[in-house]
Amino acid sequence: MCTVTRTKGDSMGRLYDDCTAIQHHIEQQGLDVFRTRGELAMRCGFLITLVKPDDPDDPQKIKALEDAAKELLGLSL
Amino acid sequence: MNFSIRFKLLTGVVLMNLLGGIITMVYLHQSYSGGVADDATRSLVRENATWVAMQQYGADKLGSVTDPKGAAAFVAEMHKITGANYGLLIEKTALNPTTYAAQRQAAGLADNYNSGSGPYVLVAMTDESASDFKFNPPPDKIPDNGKLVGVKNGACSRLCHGSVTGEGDYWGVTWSKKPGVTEADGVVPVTVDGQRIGVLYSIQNFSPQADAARASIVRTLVVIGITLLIATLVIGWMIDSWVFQRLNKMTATMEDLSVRVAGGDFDAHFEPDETNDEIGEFEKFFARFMDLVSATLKSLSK
Repeated sequence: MCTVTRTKGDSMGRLYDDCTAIQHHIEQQGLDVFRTRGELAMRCGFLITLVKPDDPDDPQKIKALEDAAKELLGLSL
Repeated sequence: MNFSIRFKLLTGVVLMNLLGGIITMVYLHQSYSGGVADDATRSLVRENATWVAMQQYGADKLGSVTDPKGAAAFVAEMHKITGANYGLLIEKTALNPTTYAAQRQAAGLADNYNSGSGPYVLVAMTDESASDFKFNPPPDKIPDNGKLVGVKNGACSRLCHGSVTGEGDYWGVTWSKKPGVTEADGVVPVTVDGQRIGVLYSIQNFSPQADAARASIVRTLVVIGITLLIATLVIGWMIDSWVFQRLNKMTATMEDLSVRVAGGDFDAHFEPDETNDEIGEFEKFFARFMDLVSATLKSLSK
């Protein structure tokens, strides 16, 4: 189980931060990048590769992404 | 129960072939039974011709059919010619009880005029027991060529014929009480001076014909069974390799590519196989659709 420390505030860019944290985790663990991000996308319902820094923080998306990351990667965001 | 389509389809093929095998078996059995009955009927016609000739030309030598001594000579001669066993049944109304008793006594036989419950007196018989020659319908009701009473089948199985009791006037095909012995019972009319006065009941051993027919049906069933088994295996293999193995491969590839595209691999491309059948057409469609989605996502990700 890994824990990610945030670098930005919660009001803006949190979704992007989560996606970045997940990307780092995948690279650190040496996982298949496309496959792992694809599995996460299928679970959370949106493509994390399309998340931009200025995307609004949709609470539902954040929750879905955090749940998927915890379930699939054991990663607490 | 949530079975896969593959399981349900293959089970259906097996069940349909089994059903076909059972229907074939029933049809062959019917054909076999009919063949034995036809053989018996033809034999009966020959017996009747022999009997008519004997009555016509043998009366002077053998005597009268109403006389126990003459009747015994008739049935013994018929047995010698045809090999069947016979019982000569004469209507009670055609016999004088006193004369008949005297004739029986002269032949060294007990009077049997009042034996049995039917309309006939068993005047003479060959080897079988008297209880085997039971017959009640009047001789007027019997066709000129005779009629088959029934077949005691010892070549088939108790399962097929055990339910037929062998009771009644004409009892069809029943299971033989003698192991391995098949017999056909029949009657031909006995006519004296143009008047029917009784019947000649015959019991013909049909075991060789019935055994040969059974051997033939078993051979046919084995061939059909092997054919159906091969057909089941071939059809099962065709369905599995032509449909399900390709579907499995296709869905596994589609799933993997879809996930990879969702993960950002927008250069992933689905390569359809070169077939033009239903699966091949769908693969081509999916490849085009994947290319479209990948291109769209690629432009969005920039």
